[in-house]
Amino acid sequence: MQILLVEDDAALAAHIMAGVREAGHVVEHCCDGRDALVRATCETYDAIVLDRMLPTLDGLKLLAALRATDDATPVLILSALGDVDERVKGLRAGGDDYMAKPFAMSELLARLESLARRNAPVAENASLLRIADLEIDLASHTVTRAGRRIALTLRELRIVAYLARNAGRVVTRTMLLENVWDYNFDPQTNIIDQHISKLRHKIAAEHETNLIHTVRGVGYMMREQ
Amino acid sequence: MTRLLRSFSFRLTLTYAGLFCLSVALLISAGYWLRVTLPMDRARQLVDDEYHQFRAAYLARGMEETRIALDRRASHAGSRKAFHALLRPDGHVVSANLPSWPAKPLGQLTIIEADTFVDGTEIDHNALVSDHLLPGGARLMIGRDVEDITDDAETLRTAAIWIFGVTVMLGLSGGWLMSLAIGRRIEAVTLAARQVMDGDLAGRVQVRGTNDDFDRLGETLNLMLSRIQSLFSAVQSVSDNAAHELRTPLARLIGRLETLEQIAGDDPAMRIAAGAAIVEANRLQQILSALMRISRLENGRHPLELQRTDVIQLLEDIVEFYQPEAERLGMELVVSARRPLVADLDLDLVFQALSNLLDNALKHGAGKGRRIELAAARTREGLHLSVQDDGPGLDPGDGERVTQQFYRGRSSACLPGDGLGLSMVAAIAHAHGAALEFAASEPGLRVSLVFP
Repeated sequence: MQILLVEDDAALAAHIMAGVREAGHVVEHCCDGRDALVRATCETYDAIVLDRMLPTLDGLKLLAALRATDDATPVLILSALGDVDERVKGLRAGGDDYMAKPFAMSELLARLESLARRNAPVAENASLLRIADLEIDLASHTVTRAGRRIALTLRELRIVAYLARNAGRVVTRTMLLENVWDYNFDPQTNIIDQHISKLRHKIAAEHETNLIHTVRGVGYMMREQ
Repeated sequence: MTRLLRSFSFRLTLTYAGLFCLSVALLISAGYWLRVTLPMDRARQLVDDEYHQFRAAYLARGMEETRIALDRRASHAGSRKAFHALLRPDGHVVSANLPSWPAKPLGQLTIIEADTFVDGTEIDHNALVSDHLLPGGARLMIGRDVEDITDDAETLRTAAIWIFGVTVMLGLSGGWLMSLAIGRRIEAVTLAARQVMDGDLAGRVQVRGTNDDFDRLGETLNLMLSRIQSLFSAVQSVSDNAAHELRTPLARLIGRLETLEQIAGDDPAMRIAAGAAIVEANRLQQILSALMRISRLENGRHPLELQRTDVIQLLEDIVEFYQPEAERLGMELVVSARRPLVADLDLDLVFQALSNLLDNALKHGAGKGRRIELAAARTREGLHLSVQDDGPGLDPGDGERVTQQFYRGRSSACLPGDGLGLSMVAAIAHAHGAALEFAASEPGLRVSLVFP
């Protein structure tokens, strides 16, 4: 992936670039708002990582200017302003995702992957998702595995669907929380793990292989093996 | 009415009206004394003297001489018209210019009505009469006209009643108007103070521009509020900046630790140490953002996004979220509420608050077979949302301290947490203008949010 990183803190930028490069992406760095806007409009990127407080041009204004030119490049806002209303402000300004500093590299990578795929026309709107022998029919709200129908709650269906859409990619706990639950809040204990473990038991009968894998320290991934 | 009576300005005016009434009373008494008591005493003295004079004359010179002297006195034009009556012991009138008299002598100074007719016109007279039986059985009445004095007395009495009545009425209505006017000015100060207390430091006392006492008080208070506001925003920006500036280094720290974890490669001890350090750094970040959020909520800088909410849906969602954890702990979650129940709430914040409460209930009331009830009801006070567990309840003495930042009860020392959960709930309640109440409920604890 081609990624543009707009971040004025040199040390943090170096860390992000190292992490993103290691994950196999190409990254360009830019530490000035105006400069970044010029680059973003002239070249095509798969995703932009944008800091909010920048010299010369504020991150949200940059984003507004970019969206005004009908540029739909996925933008992940990365900001020290982490409160819920700031987050809402960022998403309303045209951001596709919002992360508060400080963050874990793995979380940033997971979100970038998910963002960049969002643009790809891969089964995003398909109502039938299939992972190995697991079939998820979103139109009729049914989940079957090897022909066996699995009874899931609506929330569990949404978790499975989100994991399935991101099959092969890491999904972090916060990503699940933001995308599956309709509330913006911080659970004090890690309840998401309990939901996943319950779901795992429902989906995988005794002899069947587990489809939802734990990625240590990061989150979950749905894949065949 | 009691509010009016309790009003300081009203009581002040009432006291003033009382004092004013007293001075009016003094003035009227002085007038009464000068115009009535004093002349009456003089007239009394005069009549008494004259009586004794004529009595002596009667005893010395007899009936006829006295009659002549009395008639002369009657025809003499004095400052006060003279009245008399001389009766023989058998009741025959020797001489009299009094129109009537009582059947028996009264033996003392009495006021008798003595109207006279001159050319067919009635002239009102009141005679002060000394009326005694003389030795030998004759009856002598000597009097003087005191009509002017009795008139004055009557006028003064009537005037006193009116003056008192009007004074009291003016005093009461003046007091009412004054307490209204002053009350309005004081209300402006109270209003501004409340606004500031509710977190809007921009609240100011309304000044009329008349430069009166209240304006000066208001201006002084406004200056004080401006000063407080500027100091507060200075402190705020320092702490905001501090929290902000801490985020970036913290981000770098986590970055470095992640690099360390990768470099560690196959050394498991290093990896575990680095992982634990990352967990701690994340916790630090969580505390930092919770603190910032609480402070933003408390001083009203977090705008509420109120939306019409199905309260029961909200409770069911939160129960659903915590269901797997409750199942793991062998506890039961129950929603007790009846549809329809809608309210205007900031969904995210109220969900956060209930989540913190439920989290506490699960942590502190943990135990197989235990039960947590989430209830919602609308009463006259407003919308009650409560979380009730059957755990050990609050430690006695913890009381309201549980909402203080970083406060942790004695029994929670060994449980995870940072002492910010209930502070956050309190801040969210404050932002909504809701009350946060703790009530012991045998057994356990019920925490309620009461939205007005």
